[in-house]
Amino acid sequence: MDFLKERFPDAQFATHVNGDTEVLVPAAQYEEAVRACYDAGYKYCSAVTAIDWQDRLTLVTSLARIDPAEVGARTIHIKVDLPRTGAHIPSIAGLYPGANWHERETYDMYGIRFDGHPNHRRILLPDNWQGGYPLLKDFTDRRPKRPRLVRHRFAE
Amino acid sequence: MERTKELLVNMGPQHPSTHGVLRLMVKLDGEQVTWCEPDIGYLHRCFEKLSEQKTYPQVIPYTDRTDYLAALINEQCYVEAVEKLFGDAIQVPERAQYIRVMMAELQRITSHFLALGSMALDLGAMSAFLYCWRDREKIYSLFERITGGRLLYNYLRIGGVRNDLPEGIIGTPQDGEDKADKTIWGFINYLDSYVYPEWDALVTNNRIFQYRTKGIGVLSPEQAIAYSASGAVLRGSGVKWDLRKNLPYSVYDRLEFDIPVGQNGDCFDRWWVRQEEMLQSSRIVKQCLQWLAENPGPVMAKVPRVLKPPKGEVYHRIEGARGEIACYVVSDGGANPYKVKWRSPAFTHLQLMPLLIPGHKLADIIPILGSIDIVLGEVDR
Amino acid sequence: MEWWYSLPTTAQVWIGGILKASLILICGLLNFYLCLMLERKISAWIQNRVGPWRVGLWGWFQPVADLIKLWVKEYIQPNNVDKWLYLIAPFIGFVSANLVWLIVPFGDKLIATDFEIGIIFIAAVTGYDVIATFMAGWGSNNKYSLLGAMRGAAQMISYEITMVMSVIGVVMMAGSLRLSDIVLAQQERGLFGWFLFPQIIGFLVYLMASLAELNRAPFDLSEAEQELVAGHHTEYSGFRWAMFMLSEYIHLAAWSAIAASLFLGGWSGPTLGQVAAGLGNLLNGFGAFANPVGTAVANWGLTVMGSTVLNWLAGVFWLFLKTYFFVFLAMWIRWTLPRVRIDQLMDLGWKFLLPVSLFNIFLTGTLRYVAVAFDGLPITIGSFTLRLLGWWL
Repeated sequence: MDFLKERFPDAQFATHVNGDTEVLVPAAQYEEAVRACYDAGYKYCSAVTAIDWQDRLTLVTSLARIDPAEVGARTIHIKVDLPRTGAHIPSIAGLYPGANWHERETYDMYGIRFDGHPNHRRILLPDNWQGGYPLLKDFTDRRPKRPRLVRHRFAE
Repeated sequence: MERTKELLVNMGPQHPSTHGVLRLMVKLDGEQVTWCEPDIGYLHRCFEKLSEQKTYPQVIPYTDRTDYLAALINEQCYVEAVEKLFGDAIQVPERAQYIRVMMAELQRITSHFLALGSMALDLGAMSAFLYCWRDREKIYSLFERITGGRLLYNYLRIGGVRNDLPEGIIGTPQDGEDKADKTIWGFINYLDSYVYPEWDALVTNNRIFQYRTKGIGVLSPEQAIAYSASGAVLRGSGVKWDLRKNLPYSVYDRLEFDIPVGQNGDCFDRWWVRQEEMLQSSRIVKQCLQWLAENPGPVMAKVPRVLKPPKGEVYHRIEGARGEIACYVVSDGGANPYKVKWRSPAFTHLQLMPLLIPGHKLADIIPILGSIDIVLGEVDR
Repeated sequence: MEWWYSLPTTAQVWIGGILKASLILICGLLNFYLCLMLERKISAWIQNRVGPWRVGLWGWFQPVADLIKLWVKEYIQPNNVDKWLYLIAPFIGFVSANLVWLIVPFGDKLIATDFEIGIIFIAAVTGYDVIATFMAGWGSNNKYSLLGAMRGAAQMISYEITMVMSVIGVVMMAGSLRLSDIVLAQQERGLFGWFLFPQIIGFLVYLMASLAELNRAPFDLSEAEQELVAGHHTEYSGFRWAMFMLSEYIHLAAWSAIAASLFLGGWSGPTLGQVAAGLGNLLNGFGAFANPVGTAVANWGLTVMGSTVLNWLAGVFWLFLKTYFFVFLAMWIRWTLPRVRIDQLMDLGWKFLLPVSLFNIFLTGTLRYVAVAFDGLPITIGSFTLRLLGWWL
């Protein structure tokens, strides 16, 4: 955490109830922040997800350290505020291959585009799904409805 | 020179194996695999969207159904995450914590049984699979007496567990095999004396099995960490990391157990790690049983009728049967969670397939997929 | 029987041939029924369950129900199959399985066709199975079937050679390729005269090679359901698929019968008369305290000892006992061991089993020469081989 405080003194820091650190950085500094964590030993990406506050999206990247000798190392969550439509941010799949599918899922569910992602496609929903991004709070199912089958009436 | 065309084969959503609705697209050059990509989403049931519309306790049955083979561990992850949000307002009684741990370890044993059994089935040792079901049936009987459900339970509550263990289910340390489906001590003794040696003799020490799994799907420790592997996959590659020891939660810091670690990172090591983990889980269950027999008490804390955790976020990571299960709960102070993100190990491990499979033969896909141990409920949620 | 001898020879040959063929067919089908039922019951027993239970007494009529269902099932045939190959393939497999039953000796002179080159005949007939597999795979117009068929054909051809080689040792010891001669040779060698003991290496190689030849686990890659392809019989449904199952189980029973004849002494064993005489002797206390019951039993035994029909019955009984010992062994192995991979299978066949069987031939030949050349040397092939195996293991 201290190395982050040094590198990004203007970022907003907070602590979760269970001791994890979260740091809110501007979108332009996201890649730098992730890189800093990587260099400090946080080589394990636990998850990449997003939260939909009604006026903005927040991308959350959870990074952790895997050190067999260490007990109690808490996770770092790097947060970035993004607009609700047209958001895009650099992908960390090159640095953390384990984040590849998590980023695809975030794109699938929230619509955040990850620049530089090797396989930028929907993952859980079919590739040609037209309905939008389901986990947004204002999501309504706008897919064309299937025609209801009508009972065939024989000629009287 | 003539080049032969590569054959694109689709191991479609319906498999003869037991892993669930997974689609694997594979390009073959003769018997060698040159490219592989999994296609998921066939079991997506909108867990995260649904949980935003339910109250906090109503989400618990949904968590059961993500990793349906080890349901109580999922419940433990979610329930502990919400309890952390409450902070000191909810004090979970110690007896409830020991019950949770004991049930989680029993679930870990059964989940490993199924993982090992289905991998053996895929490799052709079909009887081993049915032995795993014989033992799971015994666990089902025990769980039915404790929780009312066989596979999916809805047993843990925010603040404790739903009910205490029924009379006589713990048993005594002298219970033998005949009580294997009546008391938990009987079951543990039956495992130690009969089942583990049987597995060893039947599958693990079988030379054909070792030919099929040694040297296949080798994952180095650096790759494992980079690809966010956890659980048996990470430990099979030699990294001694277990969230129960390195990031203790619940009462694991008071229990004694070892962490088995593999050496080569191949399929056989992951298999062996799972088998040894079952032995360690037996140890944990015995310690819990001794504590539970001596310490009666309440199993549910006093919680308000409508649970409204204070505003906040928490990311709770636990050691599930397949790897690291984590739950990111965001609360806005209301009765429904604002967001529940479920980080499942099987989803993350399936990313290893394009790395591990190319270069191997067609017949090696099966042990690799089996040793990664996925369950589609978790992958798709 | 005068009317039989009054018929012209060609009529005798034809009628006799048709009769023998029908009997062999019936024998094959009965064995199929028993093998199928045993497979399900033995696998259930190993796996801690009961198997078929409802149809008939304890489920023993299940194959009848299955065959009726398969008979009336719809034939789903893919569009662009190579019609003749696709349709004929199952029958070729079935025919080859039944052909092996032709030379199985059921008793003294109770054999359908007593070929002088019995063993070579088996080797030749086995080739049909390979053809059938490949025809099925190619004719199905399905790349997965072709893959399974190619694997299956490669496997079967590799193990055919090994299987025949493993049997040559027995042929050398018996001095003849004719199966009835081999069984008589074992009978002449007396107690423990079975070729199992001197030819134990050959027996073990034969066991593994015949399992591979039959496409049974642990070598059942071409039918492996858990893998990608369902093998050469993917595109067959209804009775055409049942034909493949028929040929597999009839083959299994036939190869087991051959193994019983070659290594375990075939139909030789105490006949009813001998058993009765011995029992009577026992009851008499070997002459110590003679009693009417013992004497009656012994006398009856002595009178029926020469009866051809009862001797034949005894022969058939012993043959089937030994055959089903092998069938049980094959099923036990199937439900216990995992499957090997195709390249490991080929390695096993060519690099291990074939050299071992050739070594067995060499050993048998050398020891026979030594035994003949140095007359009276107290060395037998059996003791030597067993000692050798003991040293190696």
